Amino acid sequence: MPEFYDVGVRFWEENLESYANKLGFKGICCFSQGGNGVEIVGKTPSDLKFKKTGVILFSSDKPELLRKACRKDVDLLFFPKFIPDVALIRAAAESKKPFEIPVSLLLKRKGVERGLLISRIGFFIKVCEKLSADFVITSGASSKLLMKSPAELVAIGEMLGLSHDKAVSSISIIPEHVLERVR
Amino acid sequence: MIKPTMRERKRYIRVRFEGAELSEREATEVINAAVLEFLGELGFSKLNPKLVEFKNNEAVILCSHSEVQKLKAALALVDEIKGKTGCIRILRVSGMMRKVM
Repeated sequence: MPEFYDVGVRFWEENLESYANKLGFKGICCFSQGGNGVEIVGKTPSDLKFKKTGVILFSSDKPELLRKACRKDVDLLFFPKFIPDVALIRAAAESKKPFEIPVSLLLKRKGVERGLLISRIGFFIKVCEKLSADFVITSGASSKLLMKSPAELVAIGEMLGLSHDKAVSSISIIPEHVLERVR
Repeated sequence: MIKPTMRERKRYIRVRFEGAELSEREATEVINAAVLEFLGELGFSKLNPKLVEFKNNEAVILCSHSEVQKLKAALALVDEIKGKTGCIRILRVSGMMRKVM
């Protein structure tokens, strides 16, 4: 039985880890004050100068910035537009930096918008698989109620077009490597 | 009478509603709305979800065996129950009613 990790929680409160354990996760990574990760929102190239503390998630709307971030000491990449930029995905694959796919983005949208986003993420994942780039499915939760269990994340991963095994590895093996690298 | 081999295979899913207290009727409405929103009418017909038991904000849903992952995804994408932030937690999946209890 694989061990599951949620490396995209966006809030922190007491007993959060034990709550995540109850849901079925062995470990989590929180990108908020008090957590073990830092989210850097990249707008200009100067945002690439940072001091490494814990897990670094670099998010940006600009593919060029994310491409540069692949050469830096970041652990996760987040590209909210999910445009299948081949150069970016290839750079991420070469530097073995996984992309984050937060489920919270789907929760925030309804109807047509959600449908279009699922299609965009599905195609992005397809290109990632073709170019051997890694990705992790996370909850991206901003409260306890929005956290998802591993079974739910796997089911959503399958809806995005992943095979069962690939969906499982995107919440177990790949995030485990990310957390190991930081330890 | 239909032969056992021709019978449709089914799965029971036990879920818990978090964030709001619901009645059985409201629970059915939440589940149906979630499935219809995510999978549409065709998906709903293939899934054929039925609420078979409801107690203490926990429900057992019966659905088609081949579509169980779709039901899980549809329920996982619920973030609002009765106008409040809430979720549906999937607790257990089984082919037998007594095993999910």
